[in-house]
Amino acid sequence: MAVKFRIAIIDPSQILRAGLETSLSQISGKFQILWSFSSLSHYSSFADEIDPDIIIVNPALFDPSGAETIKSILSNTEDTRIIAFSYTHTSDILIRQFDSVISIYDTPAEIALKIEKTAGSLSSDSDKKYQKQSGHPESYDLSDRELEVLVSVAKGCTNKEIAGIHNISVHTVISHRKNIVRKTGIKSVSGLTVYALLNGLIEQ
Amino acid sequence: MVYYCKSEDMREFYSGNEKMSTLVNGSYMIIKILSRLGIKPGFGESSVNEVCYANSVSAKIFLAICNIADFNQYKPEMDSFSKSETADLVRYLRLSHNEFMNKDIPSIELCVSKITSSAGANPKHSKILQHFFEEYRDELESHFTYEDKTVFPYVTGILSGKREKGYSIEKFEENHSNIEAKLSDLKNILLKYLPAGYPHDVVYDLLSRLYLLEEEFENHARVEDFLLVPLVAHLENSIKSINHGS
Repeated sequence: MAVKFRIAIIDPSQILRAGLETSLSQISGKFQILWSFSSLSHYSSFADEIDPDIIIVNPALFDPSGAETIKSILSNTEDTRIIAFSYTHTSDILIRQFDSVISIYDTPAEIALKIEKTAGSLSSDSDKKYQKQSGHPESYDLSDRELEVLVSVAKGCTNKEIAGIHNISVHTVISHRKNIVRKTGIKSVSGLTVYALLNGLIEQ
Repeated sequence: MVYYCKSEDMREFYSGNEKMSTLVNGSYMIIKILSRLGIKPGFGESSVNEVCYANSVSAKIFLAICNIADFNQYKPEMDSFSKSETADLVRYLRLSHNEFMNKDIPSIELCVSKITSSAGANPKHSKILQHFFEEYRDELESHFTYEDKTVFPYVTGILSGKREKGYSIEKFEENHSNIEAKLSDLKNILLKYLPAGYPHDVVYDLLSRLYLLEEEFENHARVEDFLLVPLVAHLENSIKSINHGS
């Protein structure tokens, strides 16, 4: 499963926050705008409770001299990529501190691409993080035998044929099929075929 | 104030003396039944009987449909329904079919096409989903067409005293296929196995429509199985006994 990037936006303009959020969610299901803040202090009051993968922030909110690093202002962000969302000129010394820069004149596709590229350097770490988090009970995954039976069902084989192919009894086939239905929640043969196709177990 | 609780033993079925507004407040799915029967809103403090009478709808049929939808243990009394009330029931079922095929399914179809044509979608996956939905839609179409073209005309015949040979409502009951199974499969596929990249707002919109329609289909099948079938079987028997008597 593809990893979703959890994004926080910090910008004083509600219109721009909403616009960015809409454009990103329309263009790809990969981006989840989970948090939206109007100011740095608004962000700071929640910083301990949230863990975004990416923060998109208006650089004009920081001191242009870059005297205080943005990482220290946006606390708790060791693993977080920080992207500048700029609509005016920003000093080089400040801009260098960001992982990437997007502009209000970029198209949604350009913005999405930049975010993905920036986040790409992080995805291997976060893959691990999400695998750990998504640990669901083992018993809900289909066993190898159940997967084999599922593929045969999706190909349109009868229980008797499946028993012959895999050298098991019809009774065993039925019990595998019951478990497949219980685990997936999918009862019809065409529904199971969709499952097999979506998961790349069979080709069309 | 009367409170309805669907799952417990001490059950009181809906009755004609209750306020219509109380009934709807207790179970909002009744709105669909009101709408199909052409009962107009603005109930005030009127009872179910009064509202039905004012709208020229049989209160008995209305209550039977509501009770079957909401109470598993409800059994209608077959003797108490007149032929014109059975005709009302057939009209209600026809209207339900019409609403499913011309309103609910098209709006679901629109959601499915929005999802499968979205920018982030994998065209291969989209084709699979689209195909599954279209297959299901065709199945539904033939299920409802069979009832509209064969079963209901047979019932209308019985009501006018003519019994078509070689068919009985028992045959319908035996072959009455389950139309919710694939709907529930589609629901689970979207809920559990939809690959990333689809617009989540449309997916959730579609899911809530599927949940509602699944419930509608279940209620619809129960009305056919537990009201229409026994009513028609009762009429078949009464025709038989008249024929024997003469």
